[in-house]
Amino acid sequence: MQIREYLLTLSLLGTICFSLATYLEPWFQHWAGNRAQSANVLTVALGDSRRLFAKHFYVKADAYFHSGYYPTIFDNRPASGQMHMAAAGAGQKQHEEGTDFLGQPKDWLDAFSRHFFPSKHRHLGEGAVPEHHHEGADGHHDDDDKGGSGEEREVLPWLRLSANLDPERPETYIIASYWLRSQLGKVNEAEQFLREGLRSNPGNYEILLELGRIYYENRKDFDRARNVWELALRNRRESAKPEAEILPYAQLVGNLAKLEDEQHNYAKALEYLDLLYQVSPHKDSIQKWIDEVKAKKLQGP
Amino acid sequence: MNSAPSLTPSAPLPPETKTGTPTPAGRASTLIAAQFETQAAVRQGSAWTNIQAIAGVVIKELYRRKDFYVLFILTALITLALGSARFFGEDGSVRYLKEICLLLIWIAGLVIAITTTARQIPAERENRTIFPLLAKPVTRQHLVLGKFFGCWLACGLALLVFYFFFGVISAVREHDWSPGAYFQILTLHWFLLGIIVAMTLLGSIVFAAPSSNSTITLLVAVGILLLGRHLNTLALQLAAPAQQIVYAIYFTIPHLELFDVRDLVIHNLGTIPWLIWCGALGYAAAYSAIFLGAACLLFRRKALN
Repeated sequence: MQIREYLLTLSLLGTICFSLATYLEPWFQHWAGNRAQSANVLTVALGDSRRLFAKHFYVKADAYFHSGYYPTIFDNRPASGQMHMAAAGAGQKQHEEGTDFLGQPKDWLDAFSRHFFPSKHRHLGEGAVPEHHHEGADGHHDDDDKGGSGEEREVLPWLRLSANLDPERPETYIIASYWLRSQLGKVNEAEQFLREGLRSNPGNYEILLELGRIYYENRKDFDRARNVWELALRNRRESAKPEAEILPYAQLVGNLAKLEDEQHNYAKALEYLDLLYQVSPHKDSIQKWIDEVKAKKLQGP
Repeated sequence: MNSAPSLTPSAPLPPETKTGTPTPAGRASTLIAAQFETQAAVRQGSAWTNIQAIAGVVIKELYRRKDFYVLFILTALITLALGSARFFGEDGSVRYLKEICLLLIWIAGLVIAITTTARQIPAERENRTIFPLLAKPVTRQHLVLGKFFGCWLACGLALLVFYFFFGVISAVREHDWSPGAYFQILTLHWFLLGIIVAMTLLGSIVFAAPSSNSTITLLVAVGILLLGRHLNTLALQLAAPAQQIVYAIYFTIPHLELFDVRDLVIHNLGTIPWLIWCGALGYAAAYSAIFLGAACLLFRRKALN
């Protein structure tokens, strides 16, 4: 083949490519699956699979919370499916743990292998397990000492990474904020991270609930806490599935009732307590609280 | 092949030698026994010299090739880059860094062990250097053992460098140094690589090409590391014939995951009991011996061209 024929063939192929590009490029720009529309490198590289990685890193943070003692897909998991650190973050003291997912050794090899990986239940921040430390029959160390050793910071890199990969996952922001403000004393960072979460999940009532806690518990700015929680309550009522999560709702109205009670706004407090009474499983204690507030209201300011 | 002598040093001596009044016949037997003992010692010495010489060549090959340097620089760069990151203004988080650094070390260790070992015997055959190598007094067993010790020691040297880097990074970030735990993770990792080196040597005799051997060994090793511990749980959920088969596999395979104590080091959970540690090393030595024995046996009858 002559050199001229080569050149002609190349020119023809080039022309075909150019013509196709003028047709395909506009189509590609408007295609829903076009990852290049995102400015985020991770979105471009991983696509929707980043959500899987985000979930993996979120679980990794929970595994770190238990110092590596964590069930695999082959082990028995707790029925609730909620992460333990999330339960701790939500203020559930008696959170369900699924403490002894390993059970009794099935054979000598299984018993031998348990020396080579974390096979005792402990939490971050409990420090080294002392010999006199009370240990339950299931091998679980009681979480009654808040040592505040700062070990909780070890979960933060995974939560940060998880939030980067899937910004539309509110619980990542809430958990990270809880540990930042309550155990590490980093209130500013917690608030900043929650605001980042709000930018990705506008009006999310669970993030607003946690933000209100920062104003109430850490900054003692009760007016702003009230505003944020009332906004959260409005958003929760307007959301599509109000029945989805009872616990955050109960915490929200409970916090508002407590705030109004402390601020001597007893009428508002009773209003929120009525809402709490409807959803709370502990109706006796709520009724007792209502009676106390009613008594205070009768006594006057 | 060296045939064993009919009268070995362990052969029983005439009874008079034990009483202290040797007869002429007993004295002659003692002399013959001593002669054979010397010859056996020389042979044993030369066997060990042969193995050492072959192992030395393999170790030199490791530091002449670029694999180790590339993997080490990659590990160091990734670890240092991640170490420079700060999350929420916290610079005390170190466990994520230890986890990633150890993961990279494990990947690098597996790659070095498998790729270095897989090409040893096929390369000798391909270059036809195996013929002068197997000229007397080097036997095929010496060659297999020499290659094994060479690759294993080379892996050990590489691990020393990797773990020294890991120790420095951990000590700088964590201000804590647990020599016992670090010694255990290093030795357990090294013995694990011993099993993998022996397995790969066996594979290099069974499989035709180094690439297929590397891929299969890597898949088997990673498969055991990920699933080995759970095979018994899986077996309990199966019906009768499948259950026995899976349980048989569970007890037959070398449990490489036993040597993975990374989580204990990452979460500062202290050392494992030293007796258990010795047991694990013995377990690794037994499986390495099994694979080496099989490799020697198969290589005895293997055509070289």
